Amino acid sequence: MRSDDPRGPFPDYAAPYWDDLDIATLADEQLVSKLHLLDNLEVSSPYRGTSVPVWRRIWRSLEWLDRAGPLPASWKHAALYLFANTVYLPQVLLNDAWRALYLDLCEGEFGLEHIAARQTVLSRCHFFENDPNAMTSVFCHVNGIEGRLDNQRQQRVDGVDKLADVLLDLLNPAKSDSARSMLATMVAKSHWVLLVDKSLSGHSVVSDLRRLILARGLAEQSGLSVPRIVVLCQVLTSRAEHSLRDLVAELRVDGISWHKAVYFDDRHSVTHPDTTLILDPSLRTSALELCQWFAEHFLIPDRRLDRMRDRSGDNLEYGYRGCGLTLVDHANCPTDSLPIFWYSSEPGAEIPYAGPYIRVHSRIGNQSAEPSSAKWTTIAERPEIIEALRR
Amino acid sequence: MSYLRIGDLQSIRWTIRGTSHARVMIILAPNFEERSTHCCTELIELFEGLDQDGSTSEIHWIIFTLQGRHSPTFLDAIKAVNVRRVVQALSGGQHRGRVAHKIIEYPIDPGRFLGELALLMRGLPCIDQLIVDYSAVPRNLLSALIEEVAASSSNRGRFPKVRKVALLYAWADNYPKAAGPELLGEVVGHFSSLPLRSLLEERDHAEVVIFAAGTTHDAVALLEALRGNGMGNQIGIHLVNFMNSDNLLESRLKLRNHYTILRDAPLQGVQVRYVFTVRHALAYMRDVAAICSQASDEGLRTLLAIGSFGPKPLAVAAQFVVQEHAEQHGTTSEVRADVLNSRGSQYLSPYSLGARDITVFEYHSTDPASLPPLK
Repeated sequence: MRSDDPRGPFPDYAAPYWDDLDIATLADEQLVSKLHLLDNLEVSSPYRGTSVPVWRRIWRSLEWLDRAGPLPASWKHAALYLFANTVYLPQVLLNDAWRALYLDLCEGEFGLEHIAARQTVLSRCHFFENDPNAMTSVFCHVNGIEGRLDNQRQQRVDGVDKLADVLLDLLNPAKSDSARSMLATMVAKSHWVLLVDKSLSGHSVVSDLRRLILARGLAEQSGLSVPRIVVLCQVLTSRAEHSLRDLVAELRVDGISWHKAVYFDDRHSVTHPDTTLILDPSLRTSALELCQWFAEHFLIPDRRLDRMRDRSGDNLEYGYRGCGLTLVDHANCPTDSLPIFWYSSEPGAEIPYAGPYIRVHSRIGNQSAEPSSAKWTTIAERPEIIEALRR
Repeated sequence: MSYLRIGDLQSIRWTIRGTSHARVMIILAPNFEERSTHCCTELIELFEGLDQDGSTSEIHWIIFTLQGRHSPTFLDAIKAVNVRRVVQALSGGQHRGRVAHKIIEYPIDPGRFLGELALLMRGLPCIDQLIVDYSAVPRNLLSALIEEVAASSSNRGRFPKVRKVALLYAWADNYPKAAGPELLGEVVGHFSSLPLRSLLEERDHAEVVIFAAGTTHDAVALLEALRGNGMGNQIGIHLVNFMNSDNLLESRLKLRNHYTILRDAPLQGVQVRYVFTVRHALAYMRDVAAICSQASDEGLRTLLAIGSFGPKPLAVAAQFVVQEHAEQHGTTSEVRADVLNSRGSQYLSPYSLGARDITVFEYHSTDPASLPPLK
């Protein structure tokens, strides 16, 4: 602080909205303990390895909002309350989640004690990953499962997209023998396990599960054995779980189950009527209004978000497909969380903004085609795949 | 060798159906919590139609009510309503078996409590399936009951010989915003009555697990007791957060209450870990016990101590893990194991609201390798 600063001491907190904070509301909403927990969780597992403390990042985001326009003070307060409600998942928690799910797999699915199961799990299961990103590797390391890279134990088919390639290879005379051999090993397993880091809107996991069910159906029609499909979700929302239930009901299939470690029920979505993230009704209303304003001023003009907006079917005001979450993990912030958490304006933007948990996008640009989807459409339309599998 | 594992209600039904003239004993203890009647409701439903299945089971229900010595309180009224509901539910329908209700003055010496239960079991040559709903049983009585059941399994106790035990716990739907219960008194070992500092004396190796789901005071007190222990690399301290998959909101509240320890503990070499289910917690404790066993096998004088604060199933699991560990190594001075807990508590509200899932522990007095598959 400079002693001659006309704003007086502590100029960081000189903006008028700091004067208006209501202490009673702050206490009722448990703001202090929520923010302190965030601070302390990041001590051992900082967000994306940053060295900037979380309170500093939150303060900076509030300042960006303050400069963005003449917003009501209640909206800025609402932003503070939203940030305080971050559900932060440190790395060790996510590793421990794989441990819990492994126990559910061994004891809940195989009926085996987990230490005894360790020796046989790779001969029982083929592991797929939802959005492949080395989850199988971490799952095996955390749980002491050896032999992950042995081809005779685990074929190198880590996701449903790769599975589609192998199924289509059955139609290619040059590759069909190799593809048949890989698929025979995979369907000989008693379980197909789909590893999922986060299923929030449910869209991606339902899509993968639908495709696995299709592939399993092809194997069944070819007279091969039918593996049970088990979905292991580190993080699952009630909304995604409903989608899974709906899919199973729609397809009327047996042999599907799922397990979750971290489970977000409806109370964790700021848009749901049952939300408990912010208890004060007027503050909650302000939070929703802020999100709408944020979409109009930052998200809609940003063409980088066109594809996501298109797939979401809205303006992303409450995150992807209106999930309204406040979830952040140590490595990234999902798009299903509120954009004021993760959005960062383009460099040189007239009105700049950066959320406290700037996201690293795994897809950028505006490509709309879904190559994987096209492959599965082909697979569904080519009955000769069944014949090729049978040979 | 005793063994504990996660079971389910259906497997209890299969056990009863699969046993010719099964003698079933059910112990319930409704109190002022809504969930304290939930297991009774579920069990009545579970047993529906057993007769039609050709099963010739003999079902005995023991309902005990713990009654304070002091003047009646408001909570007694809520408790009375719950007890009446349970008794009426059991006497109202079709065949429910024999029902005995006993009021037991509380606090009670655990030995006397077991004596009262043994009296109610008198005349039974054996019990094929014992079911205990411990949702509302105080921890000290529950611990005594578990020990007695273990002793009775090998004909050393006051109860008839018990073949299979299922321990049931009904989870609360949620918790009131009012203040939760407060734990009172010093944290000491259940078996030894010694504080952690004394338990650490003359140990070459120690593993201490602290579940951070209870009061912050207890967890901090234990960590303080471990400060300056001088054991260097020969002590493992585990601060374990129970992130209940079925009630993340409540778990996050507990996590917030412990935010200072979450920051300080890693700086003191404490491992901060997370478990998501009772099964996971049980496995974690067993993994830690295995580290202790290895040190014992290397000839070190060891301590396994588990501060099982938090949901009662964790306390039950902790007690069994400690018992397994003790059975494995015998009761020599080289191996010390204990469950750490506070001496008492006081209620500041009805404590919990509603009921949801039931966690079932199956307890066997046999080697795990000889057990039938889980499903």
